[in-house]
Amino acid sequence: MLAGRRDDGRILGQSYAVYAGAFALFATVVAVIAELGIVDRLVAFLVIGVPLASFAVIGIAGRTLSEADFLVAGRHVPPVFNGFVTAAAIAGLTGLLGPAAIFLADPAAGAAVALGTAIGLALLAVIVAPYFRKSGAITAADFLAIRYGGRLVRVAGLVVLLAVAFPALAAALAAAGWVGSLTFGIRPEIAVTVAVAVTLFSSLLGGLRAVTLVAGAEGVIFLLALLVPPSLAAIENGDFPFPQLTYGYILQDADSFEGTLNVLAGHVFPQPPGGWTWLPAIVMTLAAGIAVLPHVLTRVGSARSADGARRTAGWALFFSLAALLTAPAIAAYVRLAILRDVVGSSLGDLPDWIFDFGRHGLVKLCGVEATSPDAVAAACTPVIGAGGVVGSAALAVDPDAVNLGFAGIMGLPYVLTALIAAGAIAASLAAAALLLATIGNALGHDLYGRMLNRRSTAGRRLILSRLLYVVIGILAGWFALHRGEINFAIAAATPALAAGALFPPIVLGIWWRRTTRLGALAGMAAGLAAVIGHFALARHGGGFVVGFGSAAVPALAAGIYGLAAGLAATIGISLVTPAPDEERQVIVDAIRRPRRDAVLEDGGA
Amino acid sequence: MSDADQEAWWRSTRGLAVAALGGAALAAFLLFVLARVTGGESLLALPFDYALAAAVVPILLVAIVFWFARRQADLDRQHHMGED
Repeated sequence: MLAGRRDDGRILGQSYAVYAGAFALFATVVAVIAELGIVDRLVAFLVIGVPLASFAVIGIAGRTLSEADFLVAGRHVPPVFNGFVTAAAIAGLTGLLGPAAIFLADPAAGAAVALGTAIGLALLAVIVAPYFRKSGAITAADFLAIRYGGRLVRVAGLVVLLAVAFPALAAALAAAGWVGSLTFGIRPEIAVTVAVAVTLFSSLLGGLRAVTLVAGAEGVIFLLALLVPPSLAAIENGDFPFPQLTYGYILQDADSFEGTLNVLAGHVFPQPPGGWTWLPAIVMTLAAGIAVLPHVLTRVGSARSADGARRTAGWALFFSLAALLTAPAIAAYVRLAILRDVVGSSLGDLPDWIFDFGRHGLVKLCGVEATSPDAVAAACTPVIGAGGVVGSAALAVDPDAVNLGFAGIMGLPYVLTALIAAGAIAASLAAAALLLATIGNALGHDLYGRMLNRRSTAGRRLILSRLLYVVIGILAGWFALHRGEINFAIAAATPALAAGALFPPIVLGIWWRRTTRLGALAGMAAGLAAVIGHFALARHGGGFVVGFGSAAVPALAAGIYGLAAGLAATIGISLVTPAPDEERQVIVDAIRRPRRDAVLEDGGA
Repeated sequence: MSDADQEAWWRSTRGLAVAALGGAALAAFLLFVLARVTGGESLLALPFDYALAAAVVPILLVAIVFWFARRQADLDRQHHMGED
């Protein structure tokens, strides 16, 4: 597979269809055996452990000694498959949890996220992907160095890439660890260590080639976990089996019950303290940020051609729609189930999932974590009386529990809870492995191979890249364990950082010939400084014009400041500095033309 | 290929990108105006403007991206800019 043959796409499709069928059959067998009375933990071990083992095996089987395979999967990845694994990596930034959590907290914000993501992938297809692929760049920093020339641009690109990608890597590992820890009841240290180990197994020996092959399997598990439980819930509820089309009616049912649903601050996907506001800014931040996310560009760079890169982005949008259309359906069913089955219940009739999640701080009743029936009774009895019923005001649910707890909340078999956890972990690991490959290749190729030792052999660069994979993976695992909450907060800002620091120099570098090296450097610095400055001020209770520095502006919306500063600086400085020389103009033309150009064969400065 | 040919191809390419993104923006804008005009109308039991943002426009974008990819490939072939 991925050997550069014309029928690679068909072979990949058949292989992963067999993988999906085998896993579905396996999960069904486990579900049947579970009915005979095996413990939940063993069910989870089988449904999560077997795919994890398969990821490691595929990663090892995808090993390579070719530098082209290691860095860009040989540039052989067919568009449909490339789009599929790109969508899995985008979803993986927040596990399976983000979109459904936002839709539960605020449906309008959820719509803004769906719209921003879709526009971002459309922008990627139309104005970025084919040109990035044509440049022959390995990473975002490599592209900037090819377009603008000069070591300083490469260094600045690397700094921005690390600022955007490393916290996201740590957050993806932390998300996988958090879900594993919650599902198995194991210590977070063990869960994160397993996540790091699987990520390394899926990337170390084969680089991007192995990451791509493993991501196919991870995408399959993610898709099954995303689509199967809501359809089964719909069938169980007597509804149309595609709730993506009918969740409006489910929300109407939910509205027929009294009360509103209170949400907590969130663990993996932090909810803004002032609620979801600034919706147009969220759309703009996601649109600009997703179009230039460093790990998404790495994926695009593995396409066969400029046209293949364009179609990769199109298929990524197509597959991302599965998540974006299913998330609100999941949130709608959870809203209905809570308002119908929990609100109005007496304390003695509360379902088990309340306490399962309450023990992890994900459900509060009467102001306390619902760790046990006794704890809830002690807190609620003075408020509602011994025989009273739970009102909606007394109940608060962490939105992160929406997806993980979906099967339990809907009264579905435990095997589906395990399947959802497997999907969330798979998506997080898909993102983690791609981010690891992006950072490792940036340091091994861009920093070492292009700057520190241009005469190094391919073998030496491969060995160094593998060592870097290990070091970065372990470092990210440490951050995931010790700075988990901060990583989640920074990861939520990933699109904002990319929108501010990468969108102006990359997009203007392609579409505006006049963009200069100094303009690009100024744009990167201004965009990054504006986003970081906004968060620093917000943390210390600042707040100036148009929300800059205000904590009321969600992280997902903060890209507007970086975008404005980055575009203004790039354009302003480009206009007051001498136009790019003839050599740069030739490179711009070559980046724009889809056909082969000798001028780009060397990989730029 | 001469500079003039390349310039003509790039002008067409730029025009197509503007048409794709501008067309998408215009279609989305008109749909949202329609949602405002129709007031409390709903689509599949969802508020019309919400349904547009969360589902209709993203689906429309998928169609536009694949239309754009096909048109751009045709354009590249016509101007002998194809990759093979």
